[in-house]
Amino acid sequence: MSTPLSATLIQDRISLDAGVTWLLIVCAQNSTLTNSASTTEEKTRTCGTITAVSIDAVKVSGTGISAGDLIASEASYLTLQGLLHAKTVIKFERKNLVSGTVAESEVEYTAFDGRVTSLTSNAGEDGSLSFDWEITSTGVIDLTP
Amino acid sequence: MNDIGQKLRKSYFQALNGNITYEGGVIPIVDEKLDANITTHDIYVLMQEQNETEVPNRTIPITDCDMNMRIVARLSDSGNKEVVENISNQILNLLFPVYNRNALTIDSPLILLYAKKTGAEYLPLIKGQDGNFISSKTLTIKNRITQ
Repeated sequence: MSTPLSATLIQDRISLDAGVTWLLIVCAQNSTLTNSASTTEEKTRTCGTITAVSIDAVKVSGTGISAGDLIASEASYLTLQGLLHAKTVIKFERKNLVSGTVAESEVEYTAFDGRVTSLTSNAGEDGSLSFDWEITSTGVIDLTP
Repeated sequence: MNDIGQKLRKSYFQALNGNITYEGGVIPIVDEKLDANITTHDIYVLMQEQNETEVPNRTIPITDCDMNMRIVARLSDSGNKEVVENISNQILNLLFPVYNRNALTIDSPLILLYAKKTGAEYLPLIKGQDGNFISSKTLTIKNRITQ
């Protein structure tokens, strides 16, 4: 029987050293990963419409509450800001954590090289300082844990 | 994950207890459970509900807690809000000596991210069985806590 997974068990993290060590994006709230393919159509008179597909870059975007006093395995707004402005190529990984009988990476796994392509800091009149982030892939997408 | 109730209440108690006065007397700060036993004080501050909601995120526990403090004054003459307003003024100056800064300290492992007054409500004036008039004002302070 299929087992649904809690959204809080999705983990988004980045690596600055090709996956040797990882930084968890904190304090992550929600995040969205988008896979898409672009299609081109060639209409023919005798063979119908021929379509060609090309895979678009994967985009991951999320929100978080900005945090200080980070430990070595964490990254927050300021870290991402530095990476964006330096156009640094990082490694990104998104996977589900273990939940009962559901194994890690069993429900979702995506990893790729990419860059921080958007970052917004939100300081409202109330609440905690928050930020919106986006990472866009470059190159091959790794779907195997 | 730790319960925040007692530590948050303690931080308010430590900030206010012994520091609020009226006409030369110290105004007691009491916990809600003692309300039924209060017969000797005409003016007091009652720590009431502490309603909590979680701030969703995947990394650390963050809790918003509304601290309600009810200022009660039993007066022999009628309709005077100035007593509870005097106490309210002292409470707010003790908790927030500078705007956007609070003077609370909370025990580890809790961290108080911020505290701010979100509301105040005057309760209807009522007449007690002893003939005194009871006026009260409730302050609501929102606290955001992580651990």
